[in-house]
Amino acid sequence: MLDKVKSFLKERTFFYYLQAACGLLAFVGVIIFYIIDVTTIQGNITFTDESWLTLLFISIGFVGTIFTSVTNFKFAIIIPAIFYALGIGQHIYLLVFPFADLMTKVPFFTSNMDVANTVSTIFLVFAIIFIISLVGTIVASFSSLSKKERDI
Amino acid sequence: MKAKNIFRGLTATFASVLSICYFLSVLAFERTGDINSFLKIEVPTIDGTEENTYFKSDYATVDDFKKAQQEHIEEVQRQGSILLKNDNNALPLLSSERKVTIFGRTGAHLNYRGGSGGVRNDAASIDLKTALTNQGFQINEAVYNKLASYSESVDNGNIAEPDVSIYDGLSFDGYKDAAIVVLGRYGGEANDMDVVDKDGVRELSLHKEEQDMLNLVKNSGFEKIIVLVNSGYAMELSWLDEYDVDACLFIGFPGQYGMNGVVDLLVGNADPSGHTVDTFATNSLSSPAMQNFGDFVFENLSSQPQYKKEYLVYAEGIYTGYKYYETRYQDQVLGINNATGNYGVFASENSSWDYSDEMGYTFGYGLSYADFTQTLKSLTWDKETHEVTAVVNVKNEGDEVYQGKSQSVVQLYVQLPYTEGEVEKSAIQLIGYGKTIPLSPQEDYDVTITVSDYLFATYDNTAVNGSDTSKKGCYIFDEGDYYFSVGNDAHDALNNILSVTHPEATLFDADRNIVEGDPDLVSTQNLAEYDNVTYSKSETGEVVSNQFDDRDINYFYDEDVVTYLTRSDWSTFPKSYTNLTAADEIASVMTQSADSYKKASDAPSVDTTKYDQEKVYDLVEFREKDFNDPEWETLLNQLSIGDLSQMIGEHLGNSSISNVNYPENVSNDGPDGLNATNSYVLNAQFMAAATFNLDLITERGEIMGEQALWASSYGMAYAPGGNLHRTPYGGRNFEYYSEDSIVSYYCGWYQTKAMTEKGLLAAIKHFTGNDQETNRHGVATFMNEQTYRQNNLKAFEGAFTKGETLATMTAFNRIGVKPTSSDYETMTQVLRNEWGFKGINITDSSKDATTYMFTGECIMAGTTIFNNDVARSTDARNLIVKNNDGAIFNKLRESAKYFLYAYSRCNILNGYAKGVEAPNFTPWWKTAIYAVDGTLIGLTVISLGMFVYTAYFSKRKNKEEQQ
Repeated sequence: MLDKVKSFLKERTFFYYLQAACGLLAFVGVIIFYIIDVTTIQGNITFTDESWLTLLFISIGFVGTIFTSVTNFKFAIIIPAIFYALGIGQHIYLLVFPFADLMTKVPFFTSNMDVANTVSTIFLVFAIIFIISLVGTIVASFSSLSKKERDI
Repeated sequence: MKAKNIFRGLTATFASVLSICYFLSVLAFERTGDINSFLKIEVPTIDGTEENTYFKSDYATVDDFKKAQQEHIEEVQRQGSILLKNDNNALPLLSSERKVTIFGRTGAHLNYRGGSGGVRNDAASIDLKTALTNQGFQINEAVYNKLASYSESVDNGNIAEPDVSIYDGLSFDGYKDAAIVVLGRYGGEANDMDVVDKDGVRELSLHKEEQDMLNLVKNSGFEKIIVLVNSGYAMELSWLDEYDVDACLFIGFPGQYGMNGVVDLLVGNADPSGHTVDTFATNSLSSPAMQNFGDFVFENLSSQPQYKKEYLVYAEGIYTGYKYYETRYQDQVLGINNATGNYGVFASENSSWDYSDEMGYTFGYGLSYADFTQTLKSLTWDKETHEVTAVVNVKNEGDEVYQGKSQSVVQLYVQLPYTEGEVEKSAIQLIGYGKTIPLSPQEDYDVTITVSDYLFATYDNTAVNGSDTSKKGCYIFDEGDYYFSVGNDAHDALNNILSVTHPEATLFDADRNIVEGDPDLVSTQNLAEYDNVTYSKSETGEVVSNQFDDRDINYFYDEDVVTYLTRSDWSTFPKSYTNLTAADEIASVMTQSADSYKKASDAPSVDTTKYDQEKVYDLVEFREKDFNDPEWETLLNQLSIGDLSQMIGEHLGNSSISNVNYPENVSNDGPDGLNATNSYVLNAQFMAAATFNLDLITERGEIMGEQALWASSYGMAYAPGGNLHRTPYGGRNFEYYSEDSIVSYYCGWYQTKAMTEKGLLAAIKHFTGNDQETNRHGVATFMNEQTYRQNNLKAFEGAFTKGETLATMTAFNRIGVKPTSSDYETMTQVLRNEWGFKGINITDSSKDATTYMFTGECIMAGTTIFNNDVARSTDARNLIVKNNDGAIFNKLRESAKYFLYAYSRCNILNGYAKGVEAPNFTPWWKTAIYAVDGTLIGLTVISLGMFVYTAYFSKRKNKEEQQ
């Protein structure tokens, strides 16, 4: 069994590890973000926080990354890329509200300007993490992940 | 790189970008109004003919209009600035006094407006230095430049006054004719003043940095010390003597050109004639309302999310602002009802409440350069017409320094007969006011004030309704003596009355000077019989009786949890009701998570009502049709279900409806100037109120109407503001009129009337009970019915019943536990049935309130449309179509009638006549989004196709060819 794994990994390219690392980064990131969101953010904002959608999309993307990692399907890596992007889209959708408060200097969507600053920063930090994950996955999608990709 | 990898990468790239763009597109379409506003997108209009331009500008050119705005702003500033102190005629400055030094960060960074929506134009605003130099002043440039370069800006709870060391090394020599010290306080939307701010003190108190600065000024040998207060709030100002301040002028937020007016006052080009619309207490926390201001959370709901756990208790009852201080003063003078007890003591010595210690400047206070005498020539209370008419002669007695023209405010107050233990009444209350024309020295003028006695009727929730004796509650008049008085302020008027009712009493003023009231300024009128009939019905014929028993928090408990303040015993001064436990019934409503609206079992199906019928009429044909004209039904029949749903979801404007030729239009903020092309920032609304000049309030309404006319299809303004200054800490006090509901009643009436006559829908806001910003979303605001009707509702009532405004914006808070926009008793019973309102009832920005402001409930309660929330259209469509619900469909038709009735009287129909089609309008950015999204879809499909081909088919084909 160990030999099979060793053999499997031996066939993988740098981009294989890149997309796997990006997937892991996105998943760990979204878990941490969601915990912070539920425990800290949701009680202090006035917009409808649907971060569970971000969690859902990125989690599906991570499943896609696992699928990509354990199979040789050539199309597989497109799946996590799309779902990470959906997660980022949803995340940016939410990010705009606290940022609007910073721009207008009126804490309309957050309970006060301190909260606006904090929430914006949290959203922005995780947006960057998710974007890095997406970019890494897209870069990997331009390359072969294994030295011998399957033909299906 | 292999071709398949390139196309796979491109597919992933395009699909990813498309995915992100999808969400951004949704966001953009949801926030259409914000984007249009940000990009200054102009909605198309039709050039009108003389005949079909229904609302015309009074100005030939936009430059003429801009000039008129500037003149209005300057005049409001001259008449609204309040001279609080002027020792030894320190003001106006002599022509020889032109070398001055400006102190205070605010002196170089003025607050032109508060933090709220509307037009912003700080860069183009006239600052203090410019205004002074334009009048020939020489400014100490070194000091000014130092202040100007100070970069810290005001923020929540941070007044940003620099340490006094900023003046180190700077010389004042040569600029000592006067020190002009400018103090500022800034707040706004979602930004109340802080009870404990970032410096650890009351935000409205004098901070250490300011004290140090004033000491520096005091010890630097200036000839005169002038303080300008650039604040939207009643600051604590009882320290003026301590720092040898010679004169203090409260200038509020002056708008774009107001500083020209301020300098006119400083140099004596005009005489200030503003009066306070709020009480300036020695300690800003000392009012009974302040004890229950801020953040209060039900103990048993503390784990709930925002909007579902916060509450406020108006334990002060009717005793807001001066009504508390002055009523307690009377009892102090008379030595009754524990008035001098240790209850609510904040500034008095020896733990004994004392008016003169607690009071800085009372309501209605304001000095002029000139001296005036007022003589009450006559006062009649006609019990048949229910009008009180007072004629007051005002004479300008002149001044030894100032020889120009001056205006004087005449304030008419009343004291009602009060019996201990009966319904609460203030010892003094304003009922009307007027202002003289500009008078030269020795010139006199008669001011006639006519007021309806409705404005001093008392709402008694225990009374038997005189029109329907099966009901409880109505406005009443008790039998007895009614004392009417004019006075320079509320305290002066009360002293006049006390000089008649208690001639033996020792009267005094806020400085503890013994004074004698003037009995000649009092008229005593007797009412022989108790009257529970006259105002038991409204002008619409609706019985006015108790509707709000369950807005009193005690309703929900077996034993009272809150004791309301009563003048019969001042030991009832409210405590802070923290950590109350929500009764089950309260908790049930507060934590409601979904719309409770359900289709009734007997609800008709949608097709029992006509819709989408052949076009017969255009909306423009209904411009002058009465609301009850049967042809409205024909017009409504032309609307499709999609039209009805679309109307519900406003987007800082409304989309066109071709079925009735209703054109695309814009709505926006705000009370201090419309966010529109060619608008100037007006003086803060409360400064307009402080003029006590209703002609200027009318002019303000006209100016705002013109701002809309000089913009593009600007149909509705979310203005004016009508809430009360319940406390000095309310973040948006600057854009509400006053602490007094009668001032608000009059101002709302005159301003909305003027705006409406210009064709602008005046959505007076935030209706109602939204008197603080903290927890404004969903806060359960409890009060008894007398307080609600006499304070909160009364403040808005004039706009509806007299101003006949055609719009109102509702508040985020709850009245009791019911969200205001889904409170049937407020939205329909009072607003429409009692007051006869026929216009649009729009929520505040409801996207941010979806967790408690539910679509079905709001519509059924009487909400017409939802502000900046197009998703509500989908909600409405689903409610109608999914359940084939004719009940909510008919309610939406009713809303549509109010909607179309209001807009049929609006400037957006300028240029329209029968048969003129409303143009379709798609802003350029939406077209761009369609193009980008379409391109991305195309690129994704192409790259995916190429990937599939290169990865699977071309290789197979090669293999087949090789075989």
